[in-house]
Amino acid sequence: MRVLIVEDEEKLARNVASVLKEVASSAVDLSHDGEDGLHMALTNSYDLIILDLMLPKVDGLTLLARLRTRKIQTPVLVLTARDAGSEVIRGLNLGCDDYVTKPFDMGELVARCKALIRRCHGQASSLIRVGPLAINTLSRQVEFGGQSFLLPAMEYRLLEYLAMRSGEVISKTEILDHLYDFHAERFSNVIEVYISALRRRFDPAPPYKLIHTLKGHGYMLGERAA
Amino acid sequence: MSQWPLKWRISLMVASAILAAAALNGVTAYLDMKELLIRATDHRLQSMTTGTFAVLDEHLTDEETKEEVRAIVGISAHRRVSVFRVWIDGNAADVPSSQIEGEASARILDASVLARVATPAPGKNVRFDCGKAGDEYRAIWARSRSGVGATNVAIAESSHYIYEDLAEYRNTLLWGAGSMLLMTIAAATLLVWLGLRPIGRTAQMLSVITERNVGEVRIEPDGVPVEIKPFVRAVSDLLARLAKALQEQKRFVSDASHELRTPLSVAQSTIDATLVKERTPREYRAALAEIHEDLDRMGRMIEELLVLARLDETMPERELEPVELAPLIESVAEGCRTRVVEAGGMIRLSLSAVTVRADSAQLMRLFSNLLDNAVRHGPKGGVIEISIRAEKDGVVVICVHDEGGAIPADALPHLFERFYRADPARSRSTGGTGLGLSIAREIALRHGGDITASSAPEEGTSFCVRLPTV
Repeated sequence: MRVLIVEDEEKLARNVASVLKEVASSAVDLSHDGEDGLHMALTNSYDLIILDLMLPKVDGLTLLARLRTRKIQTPVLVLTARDAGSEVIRGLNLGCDDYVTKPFDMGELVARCKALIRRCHGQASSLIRVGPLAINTLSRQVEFGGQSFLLPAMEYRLLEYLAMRSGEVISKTEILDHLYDFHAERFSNVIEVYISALRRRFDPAPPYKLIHTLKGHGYMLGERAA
Repeated sequence: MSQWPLKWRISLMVASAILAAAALNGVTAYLDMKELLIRATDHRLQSMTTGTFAVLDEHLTDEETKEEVRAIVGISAHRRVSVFRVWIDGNAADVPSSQIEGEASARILDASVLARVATPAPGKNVRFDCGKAGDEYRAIWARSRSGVGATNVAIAESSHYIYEDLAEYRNTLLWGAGSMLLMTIAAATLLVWLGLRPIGRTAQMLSVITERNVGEVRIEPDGVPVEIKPFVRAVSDLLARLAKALQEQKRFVSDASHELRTPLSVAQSTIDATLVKERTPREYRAALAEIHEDLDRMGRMIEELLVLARLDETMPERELEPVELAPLIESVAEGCRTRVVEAGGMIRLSLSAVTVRADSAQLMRLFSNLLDNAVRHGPKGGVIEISIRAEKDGVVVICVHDEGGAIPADALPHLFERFYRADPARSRSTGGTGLGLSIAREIALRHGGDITASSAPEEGTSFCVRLPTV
């Protein structure tokens, strides 16, 4: 999952980012003002945007409104001061999906982030099942064949993303966009590397039943007769 | 009297004025009427004496004379009784022709009555009042022109009816004045009530205003009489000012809580992020150092909020004492010098001896805030200059100048507002609380001075404090 945090308090943004990386294995981009944040949100595809309302240059609500007029439907979680009820209402009307008041509990923030991303992909439960796979997005445990696995971060990230959108064909660029933050070193066949790692674990021999490669289109996770 | 209702006070004043006018008018009219009536009587009496002298000159018989004089004097009119006497000088007794009424004449015009009146010169007459209360007479005493043995004629006519008529006239005047007075009081009360009614309505409009809706309820001067409009407008302006002050107060509280909450959120997030998993002692140490920094920032802000709150209270005059500016600024600069020199910069002072009346601790805070601002916003390693310049008419200007980049012109007027940041993204990282400059201005204002900022790309930024000297 790839998350954008637009927050002018740099230390706070950094802390949220480190927690999201460590706990939710997300790729995180940081932006410290509204102008830059808007640019980032328009040029990259994110699974979630965490947005502070009091921002320099362009304030949070304006940023949100511009995103929505550009038809960008990425879920937005708003960070706001406790006594700003009217701002929350305006934010919800403008199309924010959830909000957390400052000072906030990091655990709650992460839980809400995960829930927003899940719901955005049509997964209401924190447990995603795809065929023989059961992915617990809270504990990051993957159950397969009566065994429980704790995958390396990038493998988990990829699996979770594919599972969220199971049944859909997802292009390689799309996967890259959602798995890596702006500063990550990308190399072209990284996805192939992780796909084959996942296959070794859960779908060892062709014909593949779970992880499918559609040449020229991308990848798809889902049980399908090969 | 000021505790009386206005309508009674105005009624009373109007009534007093009307009463005075009515009294003056009444007395004048009464006296005029009295004089008019008496003059008419006098005129008649004089005609009678002229006629009587003419009859006496005709050498008629006593009886004929008597008849003629009686006809002239006209004894038998309604409410009017006339008597007369005719006598010759040197002879106490009346001439026979006038000895008719005897009793009445003797009683009304007897010697004792005449003795009280100055004897008229020959050919002249005197007029006088006589008789007793309830039976008053107006009388005339005339003497013929001839020197020795002149003829005297005295005629008296009852004047009681004049006094009766006058009394009636007086009563009419009193009744008129009385009813006019009552009507005037009623009218004045009504008019005052009508006049004051808009004030009551205005008060009703004002009574619905509370601290919650003070900015929203608008008091309209329309439909209010012209005289009350300035009052309504003044009240409405006052309300607008109060609303603005309340608004500012609210904004300040909300800003303050936001500013305090931010380092709290940051510290909390640092703790949460650290506790996510096991860390090395080095990582814990780094986290604690960060939290320490945030708590420091909160502490500084709380302290400055307290300073502002104390400055908002009125400062007693007696705390002011003569303060030498130069040594005070030197010590402030000294406290800051290490920080500046370590960064490769320098502080340059060009001071002169000036004394102001001030609270020295507050002045130190003022200049220390300005210097701190210059250190934080000036370029690293730049020169900061503090100068004292005495101006005419007892004003001294102290300027703190740094070589920092220009502050946008539209930001300059707001620099002294609480929590204002010309560039929010940057100034938080410079560690300011957003209160330093507003504290500086508050102190300058408390000392009867002010503070201004100027900034230009080539010249850097200057903050100048103007203070009255001793």
